[in-house]
Amino acid sequence: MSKRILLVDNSKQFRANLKRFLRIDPDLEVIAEAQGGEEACALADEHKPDLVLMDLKMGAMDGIEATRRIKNANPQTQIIVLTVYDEDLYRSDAAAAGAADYILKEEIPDNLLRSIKSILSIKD
Amino acid sequence: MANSQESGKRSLAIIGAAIGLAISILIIVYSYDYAISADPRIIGFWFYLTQKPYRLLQLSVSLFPIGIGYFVGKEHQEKKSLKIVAQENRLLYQQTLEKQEALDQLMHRISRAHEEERKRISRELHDGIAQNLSGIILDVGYLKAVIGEPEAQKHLQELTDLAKETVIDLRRILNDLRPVILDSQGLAPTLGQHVEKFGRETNIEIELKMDLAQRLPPGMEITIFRIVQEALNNVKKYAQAKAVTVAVGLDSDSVGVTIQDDGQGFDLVKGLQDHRGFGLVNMKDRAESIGGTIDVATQPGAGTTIKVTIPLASVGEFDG
Repeated sequence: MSKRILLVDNSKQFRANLKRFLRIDPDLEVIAEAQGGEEACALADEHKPDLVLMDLKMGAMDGIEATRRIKNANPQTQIIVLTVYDEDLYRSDAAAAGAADYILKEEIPDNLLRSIKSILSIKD
Repeated sequence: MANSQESGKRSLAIIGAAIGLAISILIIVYSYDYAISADPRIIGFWFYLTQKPYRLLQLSVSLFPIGIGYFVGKEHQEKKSLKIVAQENRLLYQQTLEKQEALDQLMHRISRAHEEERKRISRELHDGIAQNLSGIILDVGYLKAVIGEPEAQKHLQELTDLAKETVIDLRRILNDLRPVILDSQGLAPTLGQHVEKFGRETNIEIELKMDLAQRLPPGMEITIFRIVQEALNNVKKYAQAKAVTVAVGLDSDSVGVTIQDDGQGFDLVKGLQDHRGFGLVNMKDRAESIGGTIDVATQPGAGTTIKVTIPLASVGEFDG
């Protein structure tokens, strides 16, 4: 059974790139997309995804706050933060908010699929 | 201005001389008139003076009022000129003060505009270029996964490596432009990160003492960060210090920032003229731009202490 994913990023272009990249793994299915924290929380409540791929900086509500809220409302949903910011403070904040991993965007091709497999325990 | 003063001076002296001349003529006319009708002794004296050897003396006596008039007029004009010059000097001094104030204000506005511009560029680099590069890396990653041909794989990997290097370069530029965590996390964590990096890169023992219970306005936080950054930069380049302490504290009416090192110190007058002077002037400008003051205490062999005080009253004014 495929794993249902919610994409959260304020860039439509990046969401399209990410969606295309995730096609590499047929076990992954993007079920919804949000461009901000508030929308992400609402969509997470509605769809109960297995995984949220979360950007950090998105205007009104940032990724850390959205992660905290989604984890509070849906503890079973796993969250991986994808960001350009290579900052230890953001890493620790993301972990404290309940994110399972923190991946720099340029490292996605090397690390994301492996991380998803490990977090969602998908077997090769 | 100088020409008109000079001609004014001449004209009053000429008026004085003219009055003197009039008096001289009156003296001559009246004396002759008197000579005709008055006491013969006086007539005798006057005639005595009009004899050939004394004519010059008589003429001098007659013309004496002209000279007096000329000099009195000139003197009066001199005094008047001095008064005008003093008045003009006061005006010029006042104007210079006003211009200096306006220049300071302009510098502060430029400084704030500069910081705003850095913020804007940083945001655009992040939201535009960094995002797009990440997107390109993702698409190349996808192509690598679906294209099996080894030659293509090799080129795509090179493309990925290049794009990743560019993102890393961009990240460094973003951090130089404006510390990424300053706006979201505040001054304390930002300074914490900066001093930690400073210690790691320079092997200088560094301690940060933060005593701030509240966030400061963004304009004040970035200014304090820049001053500490500049001060530590000077420590790294010139101080040859073993240890440095950065302290930020809140008093009842001001925020105090102190950067103290145990390095070789320097002659402050000379220091202001060499390369480190640029950094010191920069710090001063930044402190003043938010209504603060800076005090630099140093001498050769005795380390350096830079103390910046920013009145809390100015907090509300600098929120940009």
